[in-house]
Amino acid sequence: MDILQDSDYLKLLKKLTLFSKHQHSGRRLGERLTKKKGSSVEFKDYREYYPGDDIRFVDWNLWGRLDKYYIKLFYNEENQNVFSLFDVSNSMFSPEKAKIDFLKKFIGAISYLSLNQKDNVKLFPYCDHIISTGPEAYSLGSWPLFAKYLSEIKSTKSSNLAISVDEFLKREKQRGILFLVSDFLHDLSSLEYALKKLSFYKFEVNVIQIMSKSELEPDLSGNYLLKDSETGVKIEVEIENEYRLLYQERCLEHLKDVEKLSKKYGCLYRLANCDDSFEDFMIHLFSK
Amino acid sequence: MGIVFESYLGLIFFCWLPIFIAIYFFKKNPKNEIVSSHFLWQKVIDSKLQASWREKFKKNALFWLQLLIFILLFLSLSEPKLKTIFKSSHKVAIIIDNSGSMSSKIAYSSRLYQAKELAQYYKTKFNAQVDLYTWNKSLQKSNESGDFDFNLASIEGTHLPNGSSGKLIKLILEKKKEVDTFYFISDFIAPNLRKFFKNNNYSFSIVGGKENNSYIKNITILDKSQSHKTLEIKYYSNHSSPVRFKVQSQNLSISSINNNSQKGKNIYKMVVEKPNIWISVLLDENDNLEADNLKIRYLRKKKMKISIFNLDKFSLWSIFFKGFFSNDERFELGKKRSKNMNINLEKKLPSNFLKNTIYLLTGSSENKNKGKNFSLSKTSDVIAYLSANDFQKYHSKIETLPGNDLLVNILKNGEKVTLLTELTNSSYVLNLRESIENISNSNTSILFENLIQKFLKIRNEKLYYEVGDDLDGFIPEKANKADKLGIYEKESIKRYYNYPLKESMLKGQNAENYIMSFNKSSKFTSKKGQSDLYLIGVLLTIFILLLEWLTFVKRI
Repeated sequence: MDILQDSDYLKLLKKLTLFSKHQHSGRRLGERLTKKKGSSVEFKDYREYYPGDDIRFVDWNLWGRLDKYYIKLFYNEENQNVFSLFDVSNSMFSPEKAKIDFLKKFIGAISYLSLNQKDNVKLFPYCDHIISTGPEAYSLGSWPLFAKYLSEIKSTKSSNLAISVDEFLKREKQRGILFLVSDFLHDLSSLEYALKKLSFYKFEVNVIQIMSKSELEPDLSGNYLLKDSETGVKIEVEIENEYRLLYQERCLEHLKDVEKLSKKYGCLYRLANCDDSFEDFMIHLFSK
Repeated sequence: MGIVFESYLGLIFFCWLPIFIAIYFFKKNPKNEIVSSHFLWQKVIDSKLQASWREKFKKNALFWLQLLIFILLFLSLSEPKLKTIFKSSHKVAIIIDNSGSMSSKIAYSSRLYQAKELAQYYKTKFNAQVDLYTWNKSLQKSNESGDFDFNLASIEGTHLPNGSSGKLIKLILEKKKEVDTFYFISDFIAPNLRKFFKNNNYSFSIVGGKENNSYIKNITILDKSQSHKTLEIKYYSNHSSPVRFKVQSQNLSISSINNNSQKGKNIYKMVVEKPNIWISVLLDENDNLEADNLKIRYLRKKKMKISIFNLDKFSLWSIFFKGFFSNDERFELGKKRSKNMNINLEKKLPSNFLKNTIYLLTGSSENKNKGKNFSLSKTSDVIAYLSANDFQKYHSKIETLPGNDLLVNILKNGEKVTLLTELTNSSYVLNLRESIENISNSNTSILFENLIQKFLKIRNEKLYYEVGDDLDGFIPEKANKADKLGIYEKESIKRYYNYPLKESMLKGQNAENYIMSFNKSSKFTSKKGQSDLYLIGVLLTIFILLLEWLTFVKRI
């Protein structure tokens, strides 16, 4: 989180722009052009003058050439909804909070970017349901609130994505960009259910899977009693080289499955290794 | 007291025990590691388990160990033996008693069956040349085909009494030089025979339970109508030939049986105590048996309630016992067959209780004396007699039975004992006995003990029994003969004699359910074939130990 307090880094973040594939109209004026006509400087079209129109928008050059009155129309600039639905279950706090720190940095960065673009930013941390709705804001002035909220997030129970998405859809009627952030270390049927529903309601979903190096390539060797951070169940495993290779194989399969599922529902998928550089990940994310 | 091991090879397993325990103690504890989720690990475990039987084995190592322990326990308890090709030069003679008493059936197993099993056990144990002999009235060699199993299977039960034990001793002495081990299997070892065996260090085995040797062979329903039933009961007792008698029953309830107005002579009463399970037939004196030449003393002269199973009603019990009867099988009278009959006399009283307690049995017929109970009256002749003879009443209890009162006065150890009964004509017969020592040596005392024992047993099992009027009149003059023949002739009429010698009567008491064997230790050979199994057991243990050891080393 310290990185988000760093003013130099925040300045760098200001240079990034969060684009969206689709236009989602917000409630307030912003920096995103919409198809609606409005009062931005971006010219959209002409139309004939009718009595009662504002004469300030009459194109006098055209009147000079054609001797007819035409009104200049402009695109409207609105803000956009940026939602972050992120997993704060116990699994994200293991091992050694590397994943949750990465998640906080990421959510913070996205929120900062969006606030900078005057987008409407909303945070939805979930475990087996949506825990609470975080701060909602559309200007950088509210950034300290976000930073504080993110720093105070605590671990809770186990996760249930399907129920959480249902709750989210009940609360949010407006569409927008959605960042779905989790480790997705559970049965993928709930992810499929979530993506199916979100895409049906025309959210622009970005699936961010955060994994640690120890999860991707465990360096355990010997006899271990592995305790599940969410359920507390213990299993005794004798980890040998062969076992590790098999684990990596299964892990890779799982990551591919998450990616496939994301692409199936038209979502952007990114895998984040929380032990790698956060800045590199952000550059990688925004470079494509 | 001490533990004797027939084979010390079994102890080898115990040698492994500390090693196993040590391994479990030194086993390195697994490191605790918190992981985000078991999701991926579980996938790995599942795929590993599917892929490799070794992983399955490792996963369930404890289960396999437990299974092994159970197998070893089974092997050690059942002691199966592997048949080896080479026969031992050991020569064994097995003598099986197939007299009438050996045919007694308890549930689904007879004493003869037990004896056969035992013989088979001895045969397998030695894997030797075995000569089979059967002993009933005479001693016969049973080796027609030369095949032991066939000869053993062909031995059938008889209704003959055992002949002289002298023949048996003679055979053993004759064969002594060529036979290494003798096994004598019977339900009773006569004292002289027992002494002979013990003196010569020979082996004998006792089979059978503590049951009465009397048994019903067959019950046939001859006639059945709404009002009555006629049953034919084929009855055996000890070494007797079968006796048949017919019983005509009336459908009367217990309450009506208990009602005095229903009582009387020449009435056979049938009581259905528990539908589908029991029929009790109460026999009164002066029954149709008088027409037969063979007399059943107890049935004729006493009231006796025989409990049999109801064959008419449909129930699991009746199905079971229908099969039981149709196969001409037998069961022993006095055998406990229901929850109501779970009183075990032998468990409550010491085996020598008869010697330490003196019993006075008195009987009165309430029917004839209209409720008069002489035993309780202070002025009665009995009490007067007891007082005059310094008998101290230790305990008394009145048993109220249909038609009769029975009073048992249990006295402290005294010098004299009295058997007193009331006659039907209200006169008393007082049989004064002498000292306890004399009683235990006399035939009449045997009768007395027999009566007491039977009375108590029957009383505890809720069967009725009444002491008759002229008991002494039926004691044969030469009891030894009567015991062997089983038929007592009096007044030129053959009567069945139901009072055998003391030893015979106590036979059931001494006999034990389990196999009791005395081995001639000097001639005993080792158990061949067993060592093979022990070897397999040891190898299996080593294998498991090796696996555990490998796992242990790997963990370290």
